[in-house]
Amino acid sequence: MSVLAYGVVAWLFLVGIYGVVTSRNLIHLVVCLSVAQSATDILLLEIGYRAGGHAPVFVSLPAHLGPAVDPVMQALALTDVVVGAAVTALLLALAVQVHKRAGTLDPDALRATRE
Amino acid sequence: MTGVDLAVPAPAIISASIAVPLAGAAVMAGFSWLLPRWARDLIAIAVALATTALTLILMASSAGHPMIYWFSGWRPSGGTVIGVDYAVGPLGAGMASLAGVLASAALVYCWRYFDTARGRHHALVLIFLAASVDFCLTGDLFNLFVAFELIAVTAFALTGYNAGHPAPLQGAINFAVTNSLAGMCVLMGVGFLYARTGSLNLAQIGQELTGRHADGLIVVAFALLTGGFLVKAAVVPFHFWLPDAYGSAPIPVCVLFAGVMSELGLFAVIRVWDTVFSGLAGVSRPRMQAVLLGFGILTAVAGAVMALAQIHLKRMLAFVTMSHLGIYLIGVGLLTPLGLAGASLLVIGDALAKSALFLGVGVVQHQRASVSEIRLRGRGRGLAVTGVTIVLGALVLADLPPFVSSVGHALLVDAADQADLPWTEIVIALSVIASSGAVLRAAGRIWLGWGADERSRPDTGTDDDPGEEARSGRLRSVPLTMVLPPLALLAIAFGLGLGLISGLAEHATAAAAAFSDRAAYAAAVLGPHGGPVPAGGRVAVPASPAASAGGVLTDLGQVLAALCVAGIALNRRAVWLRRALAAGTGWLRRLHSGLVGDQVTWLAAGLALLAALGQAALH
Repeated sequence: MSVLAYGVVAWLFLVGIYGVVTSRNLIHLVVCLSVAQSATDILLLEIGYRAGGHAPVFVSLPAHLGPAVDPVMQALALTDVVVGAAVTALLLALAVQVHKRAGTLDPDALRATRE
Repeated sequence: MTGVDLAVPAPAIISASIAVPLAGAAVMAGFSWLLPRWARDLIAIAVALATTALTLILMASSAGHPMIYWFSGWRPSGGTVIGVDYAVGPLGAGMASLAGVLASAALVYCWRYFDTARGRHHALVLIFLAASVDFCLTGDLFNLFVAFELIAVTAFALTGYNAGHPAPLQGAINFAVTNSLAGMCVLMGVGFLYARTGSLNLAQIGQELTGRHADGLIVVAFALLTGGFLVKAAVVPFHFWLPDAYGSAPIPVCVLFAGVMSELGLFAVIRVWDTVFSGLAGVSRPRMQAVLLGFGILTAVAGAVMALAQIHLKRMLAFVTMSHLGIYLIGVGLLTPLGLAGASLLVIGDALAKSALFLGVGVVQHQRASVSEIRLRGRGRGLAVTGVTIVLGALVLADLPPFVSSVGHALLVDAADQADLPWTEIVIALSVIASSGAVLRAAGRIWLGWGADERSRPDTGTDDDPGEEARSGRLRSVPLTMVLPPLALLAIAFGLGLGLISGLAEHATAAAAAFSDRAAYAAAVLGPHGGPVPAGGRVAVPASPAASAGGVLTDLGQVLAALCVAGIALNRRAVWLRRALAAGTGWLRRLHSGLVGDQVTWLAAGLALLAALGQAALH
């Protein structure tokens, strides 16, 4: 389970970066960035995971339920999701502007800056 | 030096220094439509000035001992940290107050710069300021990441503020993609360190790692954290986003970027190194020194060469900024308090000078609708004050005494001598001469009309950027709110250098020594009450280095050499030299393709390199 999760993290992150590097479409590029971002979320959840642990809810539950997974990592992942949403929204808004000005979504067509 | 007695309890000031700008931003974002334009500007400027004052108080009162503040009073019990803390030291508070000064100047400048400054712009600037303060004061690794991302997201939005043009769009997209990936790297590094130590508090992670041998996980965490922060610091090969972002962002935003944002990346690198990784068993300080110096020298030289190759003024200043970031990294990379102190004073002095330069270029763009050195040739008449500002800014960047950057430069030279690496001084001097020479060349061409008319030159490289901020009324007189802020910033640099704060070099060295004192930091944070802990060994400051004749002569030599570089670059008979330079640096310029895919490839390669180097330095 654990090895699989770390493998998924590495795979998603590398695939996301590969997608960003080779993308010919800004929307596709933003989605690739989100893929890479999801790798970090899975990594955090996996770090906080404990085999057989229950959800870290401690209110109105019988005592001695056994170990709980780490809530700190879940809080980190939640924060990361918020950051990711903000960045994605901003980038998509910029992509809309690019399409308005340039009539294309190809990131290479935007070579306004140069050498 | 003893701390200043406060009439108001310290926790109130610490929390106010971040609550004030955040509250100001909320008012700007939510209620600015109720307010007339002048009230919006006044409130934003007042908030930025208040934040500056609060952080200055923190800087004065935390000298000698760090001030620890636990949010909601969640103090550590039995040495275990549960809560989130601020660990306020003079160095961090000083960086925060620098951010406040620059934000104030940028907001004053905005008064007439944007024809339609909406509340949103001011709100973004104030959030940027609050996040910078948070970044400087925090003692918690995850909070550091949150501040990093908050700075980044507001910076993306500010870069793309003029979304009507392709250049700002491209700059903002490149900036956002590379820096988001950097944020993910930082977060993964945070996760790995938590997995190994079970803590997010810098001091406690450091305690857990003390005496341990670095395993693969810690090396990867080091590479991810340091690499992520170096992207923000725009260090080669992580720097490719910087010219695109700085070259296209609105001028007041450039001031914030060049003055504090990138420097904060270096601040985080050294903060994490000092508190977390430096205590590992088997750490090789000379190797770590070599890694940081290597990156610093590459950045300093590449930035200076690229600055000489630019004719687009904002991009030129972007590369000047980058070159100076390399110099700070050299100072920080010496891994001694003296080097850190020198770099800190240089950061202050250069930030004021670079801001003056950017604001001056903004006046030119506002009045002449161009930032192309070639097209502006001889068109500086009527903007004499701005011309003086730009020349003075360039000379201050070349460490003209008695401005504050010359004090920092003297400390840096002493640090290099003490570390037995005197050749780094030559690298620093050459980079400074070349980058200041580039700015002086542009000033000579614009205000004196020197140099050949090269409008037909085929390899001008860079498109012009007429500036879309003020479409109406280009030829109206320059508003005072655009002329005075750069002069005020230079006056501050002059005052600091002349001894506005007596014993500036000693204070900076003491602050840097306290910053690097790992044991004292851990004791202050984890101690039973988080109370004052005597700082560790003082570092002897070489007797009044700024006043030493040798230092002044070196600085004057740099200034003269920069003037010579500008003169040669404008000499009509030295065409062959310029051709040779253009041919020799063509490959470097082609690397800066502005394509986001290339930039991310470099980022990934740089991370791999950093991991390999980290393995060598930590094992």
